[in-house]
This record gives sequence, structure tokens and C-alpha cells, in this order.
Amino acid sequence: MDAAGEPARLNSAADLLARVPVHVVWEITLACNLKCQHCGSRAGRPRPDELTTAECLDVVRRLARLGTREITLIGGEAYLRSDWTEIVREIRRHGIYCAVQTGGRNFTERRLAAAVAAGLQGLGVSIDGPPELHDRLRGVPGSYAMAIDALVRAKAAGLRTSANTTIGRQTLEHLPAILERIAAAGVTHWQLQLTVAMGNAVDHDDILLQPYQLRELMPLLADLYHQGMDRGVLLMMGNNVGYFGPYEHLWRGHGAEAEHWTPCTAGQTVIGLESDGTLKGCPSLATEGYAGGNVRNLPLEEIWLHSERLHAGRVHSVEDLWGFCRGCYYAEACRGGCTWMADSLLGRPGNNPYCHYRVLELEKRGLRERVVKTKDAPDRAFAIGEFALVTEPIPGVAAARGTVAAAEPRSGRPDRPPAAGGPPPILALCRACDCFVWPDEVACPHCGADLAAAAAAWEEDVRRRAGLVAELERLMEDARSGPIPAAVG
Amino acid sequence: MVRSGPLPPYGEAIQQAVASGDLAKMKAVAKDAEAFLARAGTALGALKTEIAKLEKKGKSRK
Repeated sequence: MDAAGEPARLNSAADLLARVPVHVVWEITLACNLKCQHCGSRAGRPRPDELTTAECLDVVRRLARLGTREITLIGGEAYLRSDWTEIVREIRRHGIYCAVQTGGRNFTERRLAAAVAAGLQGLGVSIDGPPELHDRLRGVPGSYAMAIDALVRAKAAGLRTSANTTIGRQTLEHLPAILERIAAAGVTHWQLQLTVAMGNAVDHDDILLQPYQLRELMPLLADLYHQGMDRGVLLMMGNNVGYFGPYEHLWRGHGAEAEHWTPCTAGQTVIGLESDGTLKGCPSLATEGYAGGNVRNLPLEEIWLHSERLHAGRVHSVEDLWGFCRGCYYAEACRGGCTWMADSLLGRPGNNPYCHYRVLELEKRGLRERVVKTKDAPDRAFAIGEFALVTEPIPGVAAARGTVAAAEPRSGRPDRPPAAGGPPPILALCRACDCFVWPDEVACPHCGADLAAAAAAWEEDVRRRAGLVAELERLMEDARSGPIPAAVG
Repeated sequence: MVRSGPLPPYGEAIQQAVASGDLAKMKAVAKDAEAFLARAGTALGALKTEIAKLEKKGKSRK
């Protein structure tokens, strides 16, 4: 937390204006002791030319000078690097929040003790299903048990603990059970994201969720969000979950409903750093096409502040959108969702079929979308393959009238420097249907409600609820602190 | 304006985030009240038991 009590990772307008790399996700080694079917970086062996200890410590000092407030160490498996606690110690010496995201295999007592002694503050552990499914996806029998054990022991040692779950075709039905288990393990924060067609996941494309399955997934996530709140587990949606459907108001503000998805900010307040010193605007993005430079060749500050490559790949305006996204009501506010998701799947950002609003809109026309692999990915970290996007009638539903859109041909990524920056658009929330609308709307384009009337009714509800809360708080305070007034008569 | 910013899938959740908003507040207060009532109910039950014991004792001496 910072001095104001806010999480270190929250962005302010000042961060955006000053180009502060608030959060750095740093793959300190590609060595890994798991064999995950969905691993985008194809981790396993260390890269042949990973940064030395001295180079890593220098990176930390440079990030501190740039104002970084949180560093997440990842791998591969971060603790397979012999000097990992030295890096943690240096991060903490600069007052930067430090956590490790891990698979949890062989996170021994010795490793935990060393991490705590070095000042590690948080541990995030990946949990991808019940034991059998988790172990199968992670490629190592017993890995589920070790992951849960790591969470429990880390919590007991005083670390903040969170879980990450990658949602694939087989995971979906097990999400309620995962919530039960991680809540029992004392986890307080749960980040969920969709499995992305990158690296090993292209080889195992049967694990990918189909876009049309968001119709089933999103209501389930909304239900789990409320269940989590009751269990003390705060659900957070990763960048590739959304966008702008009837549950968008739940995903971005940790309870503050006015918050909504804003366009990809790769390279604006986040750095992704590969273990050989390659700098990217987001840790998830492909190296090819998105690498801004290498800290061995240029000072980190220079790459961060001046490399156009960190920005060139993402969508900068509606002009870069294509397919369904180009004509979408939310085009300017969304810009195609997660760059990584669309680029990995279709070779170009700006058209993202993994969108709840899109799924619902297509459903109104009796249509759905699915993806089909057409080309494997090369055998290297962060490699992408090729997928075709098929739009088809929903089985069992009357055939759609009109044309059935074909996927647009692949082409190169937009390759131009960022346009002049500005604050992202801020939408209003229709209080009748909980969908976001442009602030100049009078009637909700989604449900037809009079937006002003719906807002007035909602404000009245808020006042009534606030009154009840205040009354209950006053009664409890009276009972705790004051003498109970004597009965008269 | 303060925003949570991006949540890159390779990173961990924002572990310092605290749930906010009307619903979270209402649930927190409801939980407090339920705990208070449960404690009060338990204590009240125990007190009534003691009262009953005393009354029974008093009656037996009559």
C-alpha cells in the first residue's frame, strides 16, 4: 500500500502523463518445473542468455528511479533462479511491493523462509481446476496438492496470497469448486483470465474455450463474484475477460460500479520484462512485433520512454479495428479489448471474438462464433499460430436471416507511432439494465429505459440503503458503548 | 481519477485491493449485525438459564 492506503498498482492520471511504469511483470528465468499445456512462453529450460545477478539488480535500481511501485516476479518458475531472493531483497530495499506468481511446485519451507527473510510480500499461485484436471493441465502429478500447500503455508507465514485461474474449455464447470477450495486455503484475491492461443496452448487447442461459451461463462462469473464477496474472496478479471455486457460493472472497480474497461494500456503503465532483458509493453504479448528493445543494448529508461515499438502494436483508434469490433457500439471505448488475446488468435489486434457483448449481439441474430486452428505455432517462447474465425447459426436456433459474416483475412499489425494521448472515454451506467452507455444518451440503447428516470430511481434506492446501514450501525454502536436507557414506568 | 489499470494475466491479482461499493458495505454491516445478534443471543440465553436456576432455587426454599 502507498501512503494513502491505496494498492500500489492503482494508476493515477499523473502516472499516465508522466509515463510511470507502475507495475512490472518480470520473467526472471524461463526455467520451469511444470509442463503446462497452456504455457504461452513454452517455459522449461532457462533462456541461454538470461540476465546476470548484477544486471538484474541494475534493472531494479533503474525501475525504482522511474517510479515503479510493484514488481511481480514470474518465470518459468522464479525461484528456480538461485539468486531470486537477492532480487527480491533489492526490490524491497527500494520500497517497491514485491510478489511472486508461481505454479507452487516444490515451493519448500526453505524457499518460503528465504523469501520472507528477503522481504517478499505476496504469493500468487495458479490453480486451474480440481486435482485431476489441474495436474493434467500442469503436466505433473501432485502439482495441485503442492500448489494448495504453498498457498496455505505462505498465508501462515504472513504473505498476502492470491490465486490465478486460467479458464479453458475443461475448467469452466469446475470454477465453483475452485472458489470453495481457495477460500478454504485463506486466499483473499482471485484473478481469472481466459486461456490464450499462444505457445503450448496452440499445440493443445482443444483446451481453448470457444467464444460462444462466454454465454455460459459470464453469468457464472457474476454469480461467483457475489459468492466470493460472501467468502472473503475478491474476484478480479484479467484483461482478456469482458467486455461491456451486463456484468461489466462488476469487473473493474472492486465494487465501484462506475468503473469499466478502457482500451489496452500496454506500454503506458506496465512493463513486461523477459529474462534475457527484452522489454515489452505487456508481459503477455508476443516478443516478435512487440519488443521495445533490450536492456543490454540500451538503458532501460531510454527504451521505456522512447521506443515506439512498445506502443506501435496496440490499437490506437477506431480506424485500427476490424470485423465485428469495427462497427460495435463500444468501439471507441473498448478498441477491441485485450491486444494479446486478439493478436495471438488472429494475428492482428482490433477484432476480439472473446467478448460478452459481441456474443449476446450475435445471439440476437441466431449466430455464434468459434475458432479453428489452421496453423501450428513455432517452437519458441510467445509464439502464435493461426486460427480461423467461423461465424455460424446457433445449433437448434432458427437460421439467421441476412448474411453470415466470414472472417476477414489476416494482415499485418497496425504499425505506426501512438497518436496524441488523452484520457480514455468514460461511459455512464444504465441503472435499469446495468449496461454501459455513452454519456450523451437519453434512452438506453440496450433496454430502452429513460436513463435519467432510471438514475433517479437508483439514487433513491441508494439513499434508502444508506439510511438502513446507518441505522443499523447506530444501534450497534449504542449497544456497545452506551448505557441502555432505563425503561420508564 | 484512480484506476486499477491493466491486469496482465501473467501477473498476480492486486493483492492489496479491498472490496468497495454499496453492496460490499451493506454485506459488511449485515455480517457485523448478525455476529452481534448471535453474541447477544448466546449471552441472553445463558443469562436466562441462570435466572431460571435462581428462580428454581428460590422456589425450592419456600
